[in-house]
Amino acid sequence: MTNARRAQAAVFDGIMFLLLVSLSCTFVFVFVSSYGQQEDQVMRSAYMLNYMQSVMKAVYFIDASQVSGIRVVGDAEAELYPSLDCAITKDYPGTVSVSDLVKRDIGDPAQTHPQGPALDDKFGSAMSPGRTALRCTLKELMKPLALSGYKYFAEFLDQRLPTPESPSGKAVEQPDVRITNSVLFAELAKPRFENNQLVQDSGCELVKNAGANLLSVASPFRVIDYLGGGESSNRYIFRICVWQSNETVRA
Amino acid sequence: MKTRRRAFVGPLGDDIPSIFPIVAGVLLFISTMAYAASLVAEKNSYLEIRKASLGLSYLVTARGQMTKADLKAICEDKLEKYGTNSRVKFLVTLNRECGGYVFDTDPLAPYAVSAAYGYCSNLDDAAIVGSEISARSPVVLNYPVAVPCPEEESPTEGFGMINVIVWR
Repeated sequence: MTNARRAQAAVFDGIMFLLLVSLSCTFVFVFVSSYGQQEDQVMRSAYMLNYMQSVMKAVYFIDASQVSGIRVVGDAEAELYPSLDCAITKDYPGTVSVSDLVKRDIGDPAQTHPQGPALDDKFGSAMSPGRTALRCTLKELMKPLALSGYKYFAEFLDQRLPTPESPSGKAVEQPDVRITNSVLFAELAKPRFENNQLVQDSGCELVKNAGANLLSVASPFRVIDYLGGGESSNRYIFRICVWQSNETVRA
Repeated sequence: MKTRRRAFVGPLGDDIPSIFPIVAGVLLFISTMAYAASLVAEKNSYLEIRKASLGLSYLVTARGQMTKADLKAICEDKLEKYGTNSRVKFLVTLNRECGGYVFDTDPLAPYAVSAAYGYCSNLDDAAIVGSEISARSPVVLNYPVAVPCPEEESPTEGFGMINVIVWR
């Protein structure tokens, strides 16, 4: 090989080296830009789940009388939380927690509720505003998430009655209003009659089937069977799910 | 023959033009690796802080209710040890929000220990300065909890908020 050609080859080698270095630098930047993203995402989800678990725990301790001061302010909130009057829990004594009222609300006897228990602010035909107390409590406890664009749905599942749509159990009927801040899914999950049977879809299952990125926490919720003399209990699941939503309110 | 001799600058001189891309490549590679290493270290530090903040949160939210005395007990027993072992500085404040949650527009409000119902930290009281903590870009996590309401000594429970603030 001549000297001139040897010099050309050396320059070519140098440029090739620079190209290879540039390529490897690109790979390094691609790796660095995505480094830790999945771990960060997992920790954000862990925070959300821990927040929701804290909400569930708080529901067991917060007294019914303490949620009576929660108000619905403005038309926008009135559309999100229709017919919400928290003042009706004012006169309950300090020994009655929100979860106590809910348990009494769900413990409806078969005589007054032949279609099964309902979360309807009544124990049989007597007033027991468990649903209202829970709506007021969750309105407040979920406020940080709601203000960040999250929607939530709370429901109770009867473990004795699993359905194909909701394998964990049939959703307990919530007539008229649902425990949610989503206008859209409150409407979609309304109870309806099919073949002379009352059907109510699980709100969380509807949201999941709609393709939303759902986070959900659930805990066992035992309700005393009053007809059995308080000796047996019915097993329910208390479930709260949240999802990011761009649902807007007209008001 | 003459032309060939003109192009020939000598055994070393002939390779000089190729030295420039090689040096540029080496410099580019070294600086990229140094920059990447600093970014990875920074991200690792952030993830460690987040992990520590979640660990502290799990300890402090183990129960759904909390009083000032509960926080003090868990602080000495668990939180201080966990924070020190994780090599982070932390501040946990417990606030009573009996009338419902009101979000403060003051960015330093979460660090105001004088306004809190109870607090816990692995720092001395004098070292807890809101503006200084805020400047360290801390991780701030909030959790709802049941606290005595409407008074501090009430047997009834109402709305409360735990703020877990962690930084290095």
